[in-house]
Amino acid sequence: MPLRENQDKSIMDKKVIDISGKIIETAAVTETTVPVNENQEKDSNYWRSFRELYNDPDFIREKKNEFMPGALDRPDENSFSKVSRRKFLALLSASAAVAASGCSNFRDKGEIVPYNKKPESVTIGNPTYYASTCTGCQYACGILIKTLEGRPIKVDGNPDHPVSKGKICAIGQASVMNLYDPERLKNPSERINNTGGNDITWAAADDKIITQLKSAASSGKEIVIVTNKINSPSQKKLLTEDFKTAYPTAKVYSFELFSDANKNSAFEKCYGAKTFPLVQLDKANVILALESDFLGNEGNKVENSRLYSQRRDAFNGEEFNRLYSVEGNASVTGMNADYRMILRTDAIEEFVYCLLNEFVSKQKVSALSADGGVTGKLQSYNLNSFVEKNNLSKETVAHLIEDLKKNQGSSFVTAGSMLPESTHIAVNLLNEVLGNNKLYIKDVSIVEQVPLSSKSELENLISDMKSGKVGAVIHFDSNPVYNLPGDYGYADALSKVPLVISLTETINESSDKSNFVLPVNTMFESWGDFQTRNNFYSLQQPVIAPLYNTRQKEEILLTWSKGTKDAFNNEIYQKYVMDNWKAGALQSAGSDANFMKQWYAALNDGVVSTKTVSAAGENSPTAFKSEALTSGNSKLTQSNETVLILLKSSSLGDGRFANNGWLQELPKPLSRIVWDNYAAISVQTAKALSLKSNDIIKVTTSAGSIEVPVFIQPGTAEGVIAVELGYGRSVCGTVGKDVGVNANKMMSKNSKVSQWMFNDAKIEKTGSVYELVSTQEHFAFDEPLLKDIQYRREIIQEGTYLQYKEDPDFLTAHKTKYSEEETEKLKVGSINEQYVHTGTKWGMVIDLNKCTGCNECAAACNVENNIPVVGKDQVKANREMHWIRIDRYYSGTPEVPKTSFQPMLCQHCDFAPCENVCPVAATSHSADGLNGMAYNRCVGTRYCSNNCPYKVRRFNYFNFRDRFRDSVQLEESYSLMANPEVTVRSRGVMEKCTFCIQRIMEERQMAIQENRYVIGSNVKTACQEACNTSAIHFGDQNDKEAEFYKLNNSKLGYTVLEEIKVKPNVTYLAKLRNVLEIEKTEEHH
Amino acid sequence: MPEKNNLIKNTESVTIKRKKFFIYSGSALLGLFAFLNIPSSLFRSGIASKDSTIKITENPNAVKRKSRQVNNG
Repeated sequence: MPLRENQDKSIMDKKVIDISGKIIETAAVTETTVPVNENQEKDSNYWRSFRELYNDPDFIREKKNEFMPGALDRPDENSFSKVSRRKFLALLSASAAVAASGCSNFRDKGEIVPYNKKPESVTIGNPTYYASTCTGCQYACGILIKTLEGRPIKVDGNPDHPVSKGKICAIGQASVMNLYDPERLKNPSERINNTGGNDITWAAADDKIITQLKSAASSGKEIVIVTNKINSPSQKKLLTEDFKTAYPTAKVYSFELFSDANKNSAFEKCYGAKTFPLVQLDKANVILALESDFLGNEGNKVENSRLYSQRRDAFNGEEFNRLYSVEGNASVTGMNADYRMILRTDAIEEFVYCLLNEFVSKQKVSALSADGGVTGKLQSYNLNSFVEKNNLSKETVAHLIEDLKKNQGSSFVTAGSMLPESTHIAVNLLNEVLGNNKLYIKDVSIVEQVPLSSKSELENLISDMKSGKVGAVIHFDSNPVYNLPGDYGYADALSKVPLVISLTETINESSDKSNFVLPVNTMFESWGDFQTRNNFYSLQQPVIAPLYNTRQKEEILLTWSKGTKDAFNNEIYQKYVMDNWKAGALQSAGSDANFMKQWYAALNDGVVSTKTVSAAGENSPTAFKSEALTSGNSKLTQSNETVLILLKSSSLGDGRFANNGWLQELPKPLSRIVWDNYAAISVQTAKALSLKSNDIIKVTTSAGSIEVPVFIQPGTAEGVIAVELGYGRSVCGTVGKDVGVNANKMMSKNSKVSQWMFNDAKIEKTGSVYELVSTQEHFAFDEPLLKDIQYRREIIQEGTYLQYKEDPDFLTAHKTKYSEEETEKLKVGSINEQYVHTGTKWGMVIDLNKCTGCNECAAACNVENNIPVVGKDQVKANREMHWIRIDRYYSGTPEVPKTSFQPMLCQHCDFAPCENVCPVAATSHSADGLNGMAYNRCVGTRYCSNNCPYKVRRFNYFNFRDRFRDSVQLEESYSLMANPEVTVRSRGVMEKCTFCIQRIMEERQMAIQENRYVIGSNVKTACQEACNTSAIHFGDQNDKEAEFYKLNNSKLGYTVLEEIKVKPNVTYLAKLRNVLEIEKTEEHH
Repeated sequence: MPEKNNLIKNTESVTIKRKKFFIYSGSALLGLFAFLNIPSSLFRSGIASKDSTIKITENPNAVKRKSRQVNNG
């Protein structure tokens, strides 16, 4: 293959420098070093890491072995015990005798009792579902909670919910672990004189607190409630009306670690409406994302992903949209873009002005071209010189201009939340100029129950706390000590307040400084109502009674607002919500009987549409106010220092779920790093500062400094570093404590740019090292004969949308990877005889056009299949237990990579090589095409894993539940979390994806009961159900009438490693990049 | 009489001696006492205390649905 020869040559020609500046051999290149040759030839081969790209000998050696170095080493005989064989046997016999006589009650698992008090509607083994609302973040998605015999075991999206439409994020998926967290607070406690908390009764706590609150109110001292964003009408009424009536000095402050504050304030200046409108993203033919990760960790990603992916479907008849991304940090959105341009984050505003000047002054596409005030502001910006100065691709910028011009009114420009107000104003104008405001949804708008507190309000609060004006602070399930920017001085101010109460599920940094810590219910144990948009309400209902001696936070405040501890009862807040609905959402019901009927219907559905959309009033957008642009806002300009951007964690959110092991162990979409945050820096910055991954750097800005390990992230702009927030919790359970670095302290209320962005950062190398663990290179396995496996074997197959439209057969027509001789060899038939599946034959289709690599599927799989958390040390040793992994491949250069994602799971091969080698027939094939595992048969030889070409089998090297963090996963509460339909595996057993066989069995049973055939589309695997973009399809390959059949036999379909003739049953639909050029076939694999 | 003598002899052979009886019954009582009183939790390792057994109770006021399909109610 000529390309391969060229590629090898180019690699050999490279010289690299190590951290001390010496020139060393290419063969030694790792992520610790970076290439000197900046103009290196583009390498179209796929690579997973720098070590692989530069053929690091260690990596090549490791790839030849499935197991990590040391796994097969002969043990050191000198380290053996000196106990003789005879003595050993004697001791063994004696200890066995003692154990046998003393362990009659060992591991008492309780008694088996008949379920004779069974509720009428419960049938053993049949799940029930409850519609509810997730409160894991501010977006309040609708969920369906699955319970078995009363235990919530799985959370999925509520298909009736108009926003989330049956999907939720990883935090929602994993939230069931929060319910059963054994480290949840179980009793109220009081902390006296800074000693540890003493448990007290609820009555005593209520009594003491009510007395002190009354005293504070009567002496005119403020009673402050600090809460996260309020989305609930009933909660709003309780806090701002009823509690305030009881305690007139009460004030509510709300905040979120991440918000659209800059976007909203810019929109208000431009259009007079307080919140940014909803956008018909699915109607946009062209999307330009400016440092915006709307598919990753920004905004309502569940909804964004759904709307975006509706236009990435090759079969629904709609044209593909085209996504342009301009960014400094490598984001999920950017890596999914058709065109990605790398630009420093603080240069983005100038880029927008250059585009504005191009469209307004040069191309005169808008009436604003005649507005001298506007054109005057724009005339100093020149796109050509900007492109030149920032080394952007002229061709790509020309495509962008052409596309935006051609799609006026059907394109959309979006900017990241961390960008300052001035950038958002410019972006609003760009959308206005292009007529894209047509995509703003007019009749449905976002409802802000209580606006988030402004900077000045929070400053006043701190000042009042410090001056003794505040008599009590109530943390309403919030953690301001950790979440608020450090320069507010909240923690210091708190010490001046005589009464601090924390209502929280688990200990946190704020509860640690409280006089009273009151445990609250999780969302599975709480009532609530929510209104995030003006066209519907959603409800939250408790599916079980509280597991511990906890109360719902609203119940606690309601009791206090009644002024006596005796006011509490278990239904106090339920009745409160119902009363509010009688007067509000279900006002039209009339009679009590009719209300109850509608109330139960609402609880059943989880959502209620409002027939008449409430008047938007002051939130109605007006015409664009050009004075927003011309007013004296300071503009964001490019600095000479480094840009620091602070991001929401892709798995932990704002850090409140740090004690959730499933979330900690979920790999980040691009770096695949687990159990840590890090500073993502570019290859160029690493080179300039002689940094390598794992080096600890000190980042200093005007807000302060932190020390954080470095990860060299391909595709990051030079001079930009990005750090995720939500880590470094100092007061947390055993799982989340001190994991990662607390970068929250870098946030500043006084940042010149924005709370989440600085362009005055300085980086210093500390000389220390901290090991980050990434799953990226795991399960890479080949041998010399199969070198460049992902290139030659076309594991990733791609093309362009134009190519597909011109020739739908292009994928099969251009297979040129083998020489004629090789092709002849491949025609040799299999030695196995094909078994003919006449009935159902299960299969999966994964649409790579829709997969964004977000990991939602992995989170769902973990919950459904009782996957244990193994911990960072075991992930480092290649022992993570996830049944589905997202392989992320880069192609191109480290500076400008293209990215491809590919979910990889057991392929349930017809001729499964794992089956042939199992000495005990523990893995075998079923008549409906499943590659099954009999855990009880498995003796742990690992031959199957060795023989699996996809490396999707996972071995239980330990009983990980026992091994991880003092056996926290063996606590009683965690055992209640297990899905009883899936065996909990123990040490020495091999496991892997089962295609959710328990769900298949459910359908099979239903088919038997209803005397019909199994219907493939009735089965939805956990990953399929969770996939935000509906990239995963599952069904019966033999059902020719089903939609699945068409996808499975589509012209874009291919199977991975098809030439080794194992006949996998997972079909991948090739990714089509919607670029304007038909690229050479050789460059697409 | 030979028959009578045999009967007496047989009766004597199945009688447990007083001393042995007390040893056996004492040992049995001691064993029973030990079995009932030695806390089995001594032999549990790495497993949390079961003192606070969690009770799962469904909420009677919640409204359940049988399917995860779209409801359109």
